[in-house]
Amino acid sequence: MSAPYAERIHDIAVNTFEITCYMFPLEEWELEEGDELSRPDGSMRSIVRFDGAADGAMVISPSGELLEAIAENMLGSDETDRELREGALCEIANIICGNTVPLFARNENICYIRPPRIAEPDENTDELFSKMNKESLDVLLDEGIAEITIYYSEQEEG
Amino acid sequence: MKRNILIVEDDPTMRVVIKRTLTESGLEICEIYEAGNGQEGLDMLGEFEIHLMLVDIYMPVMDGMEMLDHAADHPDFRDIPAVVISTENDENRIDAILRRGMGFVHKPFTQQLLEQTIVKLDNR
Repeated sequence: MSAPYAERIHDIAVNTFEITCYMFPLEEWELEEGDELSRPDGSMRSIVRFDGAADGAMVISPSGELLEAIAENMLGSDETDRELREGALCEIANIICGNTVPLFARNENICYIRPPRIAEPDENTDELFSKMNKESLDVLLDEGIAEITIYYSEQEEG
Repeated sequence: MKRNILIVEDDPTMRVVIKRTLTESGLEICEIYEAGNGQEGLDMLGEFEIHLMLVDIYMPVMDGMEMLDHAADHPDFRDIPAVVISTENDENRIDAILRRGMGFVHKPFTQQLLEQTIVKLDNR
C-alpha cells in the first residue's frame, strides 16, 4: 500500500457513517455557506490498534455534536449517557479501522485489529506512535466533524 | 414463521444496532436474546429455544467461531442457522464461513443486506 491513504480512509468513513449512523457528507462549500461546525476538541477519542501486515493505530475524534448524534442515531434514542456515547464511538472506530486495514494486506499477510478503547484525556498519540507514518483527515458530515488519524509502519517486503 | 433470535456480540452498542435493525425489518420475530461472548451464547442456546444466531467473530472469553464450532458439535444446536456479522475482510476466512452453510454480513451493513442474508438461509 502506498501513501497517501487519506482519500480511501475518507471514503470508508463516509460509507460507515452513512450506513450505520444515517449521516451524510458535506462538501467544503456547504461548510462555507452554512453555520460553521465546531472542530473536534479531542476530549473523546477512540483508538484502535492493529498489527500484522502493518503495525499502527487509528484514532477517531468527533466533535461534541457529532459524538452525540452518532450515539443517538446508532441507538435510536435521544437519551444517551457518556458510556453509551463511548461505546458507539468505539464501534464506529472498529468498523472504520476494520475496513481500512485490508489496504495494508500483501499476499497472505493481513492485519489484525485489537479491541477499540477510549483514549485517556492526556494521552498524546503523536508521541505514542512517533516512529510511525501519520496521516490525518477530516470527515465533514451533516451532523458534525470527525478527525481521523492513522499511524502505521508497514512491514518490509521480502 | 416467528422465530427467536440470539445476538452474540461483545459491544453493547452494536447489539442495540442489530436488534433495532431486526425489529425494523420485515422479518417475523418472537424474542431477541443477547449474549456478550461465545460462552454466554452457548449458555443461552441451552436455556432458550433459538431459531437463528447472529454472531460476531472477535469477542473476549470465547470468540464467535469457537462458539459456532461447539454448536456444530452439539446435536441440539447443529441445525440452528447462523449469520456471522463482522468486519472480517480475509477472503479465505469468509469462504470458510460460507462453505459451512452460514451467512456472512460485513460491517457496516444495511438492514436490506441483513434481511436478505437471513431470507437466503431460510430458503436453503
